[in-house]
Amino acid sequence: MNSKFVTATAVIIWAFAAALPQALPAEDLSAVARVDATRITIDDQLNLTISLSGDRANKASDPDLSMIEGFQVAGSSQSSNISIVNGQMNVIKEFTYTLLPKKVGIHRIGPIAFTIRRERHETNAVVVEVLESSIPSAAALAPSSSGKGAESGQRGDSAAQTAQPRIFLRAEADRTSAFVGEQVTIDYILYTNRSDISNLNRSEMPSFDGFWAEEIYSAKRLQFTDRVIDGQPYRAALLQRIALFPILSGEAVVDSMVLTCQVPVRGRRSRRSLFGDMDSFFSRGKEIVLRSRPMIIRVDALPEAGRPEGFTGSVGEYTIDASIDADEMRVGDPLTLILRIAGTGNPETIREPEIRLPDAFEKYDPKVTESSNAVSGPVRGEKRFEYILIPREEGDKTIPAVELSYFNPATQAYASVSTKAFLVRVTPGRAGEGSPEPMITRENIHLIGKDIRYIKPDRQRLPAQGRPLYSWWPFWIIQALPIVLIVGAALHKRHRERLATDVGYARLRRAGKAAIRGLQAAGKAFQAGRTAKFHADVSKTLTGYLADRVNVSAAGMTREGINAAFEALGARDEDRSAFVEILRECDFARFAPSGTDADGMRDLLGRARNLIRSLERGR
Amino acid sequence: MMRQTFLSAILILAVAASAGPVEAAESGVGLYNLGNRHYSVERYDEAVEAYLGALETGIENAALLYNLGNATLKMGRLGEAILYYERGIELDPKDEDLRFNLEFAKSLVKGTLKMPKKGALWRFFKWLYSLMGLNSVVLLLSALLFLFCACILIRIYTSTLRLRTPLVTIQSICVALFILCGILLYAKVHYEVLVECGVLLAERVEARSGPGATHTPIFPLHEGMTFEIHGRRTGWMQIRLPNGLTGWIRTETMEVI
Repeated sequence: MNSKFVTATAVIIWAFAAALPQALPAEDLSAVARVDATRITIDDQLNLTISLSGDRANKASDPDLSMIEGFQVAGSSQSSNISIVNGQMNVIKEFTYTLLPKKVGIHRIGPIAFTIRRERHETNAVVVEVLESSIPSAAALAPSSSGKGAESGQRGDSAAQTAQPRIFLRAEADRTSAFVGEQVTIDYILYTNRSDISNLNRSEMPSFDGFWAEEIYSAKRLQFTDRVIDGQPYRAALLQRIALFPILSGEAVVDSMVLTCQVPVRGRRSRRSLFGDMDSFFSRGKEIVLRSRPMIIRVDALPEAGRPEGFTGSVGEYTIDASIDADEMRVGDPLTLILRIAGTGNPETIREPEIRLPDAFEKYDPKVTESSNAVSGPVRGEKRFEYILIPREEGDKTIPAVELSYFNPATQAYASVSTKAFLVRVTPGRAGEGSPEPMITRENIHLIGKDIRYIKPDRQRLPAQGRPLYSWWPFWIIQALPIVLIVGAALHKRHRERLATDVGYARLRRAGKAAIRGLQAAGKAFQAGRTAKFHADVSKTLTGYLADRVNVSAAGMTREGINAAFEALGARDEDRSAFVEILRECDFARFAPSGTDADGMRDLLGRARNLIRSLERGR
Repeated sequence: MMRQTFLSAILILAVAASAGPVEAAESGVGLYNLGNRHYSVERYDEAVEAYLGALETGIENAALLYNLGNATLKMGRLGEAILYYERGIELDPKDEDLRFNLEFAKSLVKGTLKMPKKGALWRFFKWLYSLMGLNSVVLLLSALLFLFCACILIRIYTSTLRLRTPLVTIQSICVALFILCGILLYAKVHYEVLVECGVLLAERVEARSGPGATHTPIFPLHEGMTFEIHGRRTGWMQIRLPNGLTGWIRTETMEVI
């Protein structure tokens, strides 16, 4: 057999085998989605069941619920049921979900997708209508009710049409507006018209942010009373009663309480399972989530008008009384003063009242005890301040009345109460003590404990410190500065002195400048046409320059003098000859004037200038 | 056109170059502040970590070292606390909090040293020494120099006898102070720059007579004690205590300030 033939056969067989599953007739796989009610209110919950049945139903993946809009998935469960009938295997897989509606309206659930062996299948879609809440709002039942009762009455009808029995949780407040610090009592009540609830669990306690909270009552067992809401009879059980005292003014929100409980579920289809008809024992319980609505309490700030000066924030209604344990004692003996403040209100807001004792008494920090109880409604509290006083002087002393100011929300006004004053007689201290020797010495202010100082505070920048100055090169330049200045000053001074005293030095320094000035004058004479002056100037300038250089008198400059000067200067020979030549020409022009032309004079001036420059350069 | 691009390139480079160290400094300051947060809630170990991180970014600042010293002290690491306090004082000798805490930490060091009594002159000098940092002494010397030169300048330019005497007085005072500061400077340079000091980090060690475990132990040292470093051999340091005792300890038990 040809190898090619073998390969071809193998490929065909393989292709066939791969295509086979598709080629087989599709067994019946049914996927049905159904809900237990198609009209519910927003407070109800919905049960969605997806039933898959068929050979391969067991291999199905979990359905994909992510596309369901308008509902929140609260719980899920699944079950499989395999039965063999007449040699045929039948699998039924059910997924059950608890859905909580999020929005009112008509919602379409599904089609819900799932996969079996990477094949995608879908259930049908269901349509559910979500109606407005049928629970009457708290305002409708509070004393100051609005006209909402009638409205919800209508809704109540539609609610009654929903298939399942009702159960809901409600928070009720005794007031919807309060002053800061005024007690608001919240009751959490469970309403139901069914009798088979079990396993009540608090899953979320409200946080009571913005309030002081004190629990007044918490139910250990459910005790039901009968109530009628919207013409429907319900049984109500008080779960918890809390006293809330708002802390800040504005709108304060009391959060929801969330409960879960179990109710039994009766099967919809009487399924013939292998175990027969199990009902009460093994019937599944369904978990229901109950949530109370959040409440908004409007909190008013305490009025400014009429607020007494010593007001420290106590809200409620209080009494105050004081007592002392003795009215006569010796200097240095302790005296106990007890202040009792009692009344309705939040005991946390009762601050230590101000006691203005005379200087004769030493007062120490009080011992404070607090107690509060709230049996049914308003929280009653009592705060005791126990002071130890030590009299330091003898005589008749008065412990003044102590005043307490509070705001009474019932009367919406401030009030003050005060204790009575006490008269105390202080007798002199024990004999031999003279000026009262304090039995308890004052603390000398010295260190009672030592500890390190606290850390340095936060910074924006932490600049480098501690760089030694001598490593910074500009520093050295600055250091050199005064020395340079001094040297310069000294030189400058020497120069000036020499100029003042040493003539020869002065002349020497000025020679060049003088020569230039002289030649400039000659130039001017030339331009003015004063030939004689011109020549005289040039001659004078040159001899004057030379004389300055060697510090001799210019007047008596002879030829020998000129030669000697040039020797002394060590100047070049051509300079000397140029010098002599210019002088001769000048003398000639002066004493034997003939037609000296302008060009000649200009040339002469130029030569004179060059000569001076050359001699200056040679210095 | 070319000039503009060239200039802008220089500008960008300059900004980038300056951004580098600024970046490091910023995260360093951030770590410092983070350390403060941890310290304020008594998470001292994390505070120490944050401060050390800030140190690693290259910050040389007394406040950082002070806070680090506090945090390590709160953790009971006395030797390290003294180390950081001393380093902080090197950067900022005038800081009162640093001095106070260093004194406090030193008071916790176990073990006392018999210190020889020093005379009043020595104590006066010590007070003077601690009064100013190295840079302050240098600045003072520089100021004296300037004053002296100013006097000379004035003397050069005015020859009136009236001014001569006060100028000479000023100059003599300058010279005297200069000498004093010079000595101070020498002392500071010697102790702060030339001589290395160290602090013991281990709880207790015994200094030996030589650089090796076979040498005789001669005196004990406790965590937090400071000393001068006079010599080194592999793994050992020769140290000198303030009271004159010298010995050798292992390098890993101590840290140079």
